[in-house]
Amino acid sequence: MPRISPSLIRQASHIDQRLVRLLPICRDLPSARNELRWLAEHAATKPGNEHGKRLLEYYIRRRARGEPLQYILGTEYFGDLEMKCRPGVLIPRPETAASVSHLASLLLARQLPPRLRVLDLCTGTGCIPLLLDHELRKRFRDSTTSAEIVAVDISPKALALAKENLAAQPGAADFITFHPADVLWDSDTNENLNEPPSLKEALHARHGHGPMRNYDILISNPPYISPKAFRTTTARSVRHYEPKLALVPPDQRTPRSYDGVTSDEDDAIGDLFYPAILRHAQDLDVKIMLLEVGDLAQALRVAGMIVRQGIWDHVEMWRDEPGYPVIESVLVDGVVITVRGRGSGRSVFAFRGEGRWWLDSDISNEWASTPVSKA
Amino acid sequence: MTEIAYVARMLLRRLWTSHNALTQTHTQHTRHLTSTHTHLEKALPPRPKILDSEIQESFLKGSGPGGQKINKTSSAVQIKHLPTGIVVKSQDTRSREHNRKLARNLLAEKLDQMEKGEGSRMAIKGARMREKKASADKKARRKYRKLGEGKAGGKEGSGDEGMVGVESGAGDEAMDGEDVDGQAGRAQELPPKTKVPSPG
Repeated sequence: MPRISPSLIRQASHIDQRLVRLLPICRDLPSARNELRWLAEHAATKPGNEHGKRLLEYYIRRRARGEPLQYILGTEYFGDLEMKCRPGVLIPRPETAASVSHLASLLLARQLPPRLRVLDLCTGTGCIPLLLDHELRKRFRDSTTSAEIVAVDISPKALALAKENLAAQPGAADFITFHPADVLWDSDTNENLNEPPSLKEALHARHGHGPMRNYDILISNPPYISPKAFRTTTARSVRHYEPKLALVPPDQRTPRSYDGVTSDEDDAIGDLFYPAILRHAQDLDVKIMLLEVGDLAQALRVAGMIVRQGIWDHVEMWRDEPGYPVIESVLVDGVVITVRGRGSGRSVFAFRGEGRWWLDSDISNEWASTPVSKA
Repeated sequence: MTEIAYVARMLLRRLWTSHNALTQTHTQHTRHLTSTHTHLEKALPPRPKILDSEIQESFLKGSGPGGQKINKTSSAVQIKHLPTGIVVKSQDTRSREHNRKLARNLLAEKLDQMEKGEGSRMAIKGARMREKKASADKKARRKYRKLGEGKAGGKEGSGDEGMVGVESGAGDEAMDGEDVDGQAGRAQELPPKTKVPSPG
């Protein structure tokens, strides 16, 4: 990390000494000024204002040490919504919100099944189901369509927070439910009652035993950072304060050897969730799928898995701002794949079957010209 | 005590004017005694609509990895109006969505000002503010001239401009007069508290 220039420190110290302490973590003066203002505003809202100064001092000390601003303030904005945040649960990222909003903007209310069924895996704060529900209810205002969203997470802390966030959004509780489930564990039965159930078991518990019910849309922002990337490219505040459970997939190699991990092996650990999610998508007869990824290289690997699965009609990759009108294409396993938008590679999107008719026709016509088939 | 005297005087004056208003014909515009007369004024012209195709929006968060790997707190939004090249930036709130709306409003007002000049929303707003200020000043001067003969109360009610300190990346001329609607009038009307001579 480049050092902060002395002239910038001097400039900050002329304005306010507290900015100098925030500079190393905020990196630039406008951010430091904004964060100082937000921290002061937050301190002012707390009861017992006679300690306002001391409280602000405490907040600045925590922030200067690298604690994420969202854990200090207790919330983060996600699209139009303000989500509660707490240590132990991943803070929602604006790029995720951009992908979810873009997906919602593509869905056509009139073409969709009257009760759209959505599954969100590794939900964390519950930000994805809550924003999707918010966007869809805006979009479905003049139609009878509604979405039923089931969201799962392995972490009890995340589920507790997700339920708080659900309670804070008026009306959302009619459409969203949260359940404990382990996405990686593939089993029909729950053998150990102390462990979270497998996804199948959790869905059986939700819908009652019998034939597994299908889902129309599957979304997930799973842990996708490889162990090496976690050590080398992850921001300090993320590495030290956010839950590793939500960031790095478990190392399931047997026997585990910590020395001599090849870069392919490292990537494979980072990609661990995607094959499991793709199996679930097939088992649940999912028609539209949106998976977040870490960068374009991972997007290419995940797109490759989707192409090789052989059941999808169309695959594309979205960047941070998928609505930005730039389209490129890349070749993955002999298939031309569209890369949409601007920014880093952020998610992989796929649909099949009826899914095509649920999406904006201008785009699906364009999609029709580039079917996914092995060349 | 001086405050109570001041309020009582204002009430008396209001009674007096409403009595006048009933007995006299309206040859002149009603004098503004309080700043809550906005409902009598004509609504401000709307901000011009900006087409999404005319602007280029960017989120200022620097380059490098994103997603789970970093946790930037920047919610700043910058928009560029392509036909004119005007750039505005908003980073007031932690919500990117809210900053997008703020930036669009700022741009709309700038464009309006460029296009219509004197007839623009901001110009009309500013003119109304000045009018209010002028009438308040005049009133204050008249009052103190009457009351303050020989006393130290002849000071004019000026000073506090009532500008709310909203820090904004684009907070230049487009922001002038913003957020002070109805406040400046009140601020001007209150004479300096310590120097109000009691009537009689």
